Amino acid sequence: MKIAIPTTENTPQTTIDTRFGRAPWYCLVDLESKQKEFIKNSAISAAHGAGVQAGQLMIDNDVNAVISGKFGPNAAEVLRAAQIQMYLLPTGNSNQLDDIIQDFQDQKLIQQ
Amino acid sequence: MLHIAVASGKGGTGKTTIATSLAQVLPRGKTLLVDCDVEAPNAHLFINPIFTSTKEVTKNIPVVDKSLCDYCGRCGDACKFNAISVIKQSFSSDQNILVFPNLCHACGVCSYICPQNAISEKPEKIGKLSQGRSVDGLDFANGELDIGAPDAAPVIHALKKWVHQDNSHYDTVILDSPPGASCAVVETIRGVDFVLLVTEPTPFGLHDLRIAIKLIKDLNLPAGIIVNRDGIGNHDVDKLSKEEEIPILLRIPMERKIANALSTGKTLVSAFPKFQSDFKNMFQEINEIYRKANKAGK
Repeated sequence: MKIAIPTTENTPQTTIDTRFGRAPWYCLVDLESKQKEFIKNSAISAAHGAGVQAGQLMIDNDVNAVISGKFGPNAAEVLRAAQIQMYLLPTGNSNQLDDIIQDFQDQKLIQQ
Repeated sequence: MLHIAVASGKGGTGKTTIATSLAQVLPRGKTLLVDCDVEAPNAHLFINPIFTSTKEVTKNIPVVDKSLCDYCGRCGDACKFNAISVIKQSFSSDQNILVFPNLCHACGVCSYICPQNAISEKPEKIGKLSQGRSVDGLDFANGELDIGAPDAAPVIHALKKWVHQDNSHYDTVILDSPPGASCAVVETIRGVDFVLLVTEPTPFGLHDLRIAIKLIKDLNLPAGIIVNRDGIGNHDVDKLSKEEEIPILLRIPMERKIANALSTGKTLVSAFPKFQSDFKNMFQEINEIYRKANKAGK
């Protein structure tokens, strides 16, 4: 299973970006192999429709689930149509990548 | 024929006050006033026109025939506004194609590029145009963006096109612009001969005037400044006028009685006829600046 988490930087020490469509990076995590890969969000500078474009990026990268603080209506529509699961960042989280991945695996996150 | 746009940058500086009064001092039958602020049209409240013709504005939204679509994704790649999303078949989901009408700018590239001819266009109403005349004979037109429609520029474009169909008998067309410096303003002032920039002598007026000046310089349009509510604030607008070599053509003083009269729906020149000569003189000056700019351009 491959999950995507919006991040502010492309290093393992990065903090989470709570926005989905306008985050600068996504960390793609393969839960089986524990491999992490960072991809740049090409939608960040889109004047309109960043959510749609970011959703498309998830589809193109075969992502199964996305974790974010908030999903815009257009992004949610694309992700839903592609049957990519949406999980919400818990409030008061540590903002650290590995903690969120652990929370996901422990099934502590709420599905939107 | 001279096209004059009244713009500002900052909202509430008095664009409509200027546009309506300028229109009223020019010859009837030879002057057309067009309210291009389609998101909040209000010039008609001062002119009280009787509208005699109306027209719907539509935008063409793509409609996908899913029996023809092979989900190749070219339309989604081509769309600059992310208004189409193509979901290819994967292990977790079926193929699908989504259209987002609110993001669509109706450019038509998706239907043009589709190799399967699976995309057609369906007109969707986004606004309404009206044309008419005031009781005292001033020709007037405006547009109104539908509630919920996201983009004013196509309605302004349609409004300008509509009034241009039959405007050969006018000497002057005055376009009352929306505030700001975004697409709607660009659409309004594109192709005009002169821009009147209405400001107030405050840090707020100055800040947005600078942005508006950048815009008109980008579009290479001759312009003049009108200082409304003169006497408040400071003299920074005068300084900016000198720096940018854009003349101040008119000053309207900050007076309670002016505000009172305007708040009852009267235009400035109908409430205070002494301003009529100021507006006529300003119009002469605009003509001279335009002529000079035109000569220099040639």
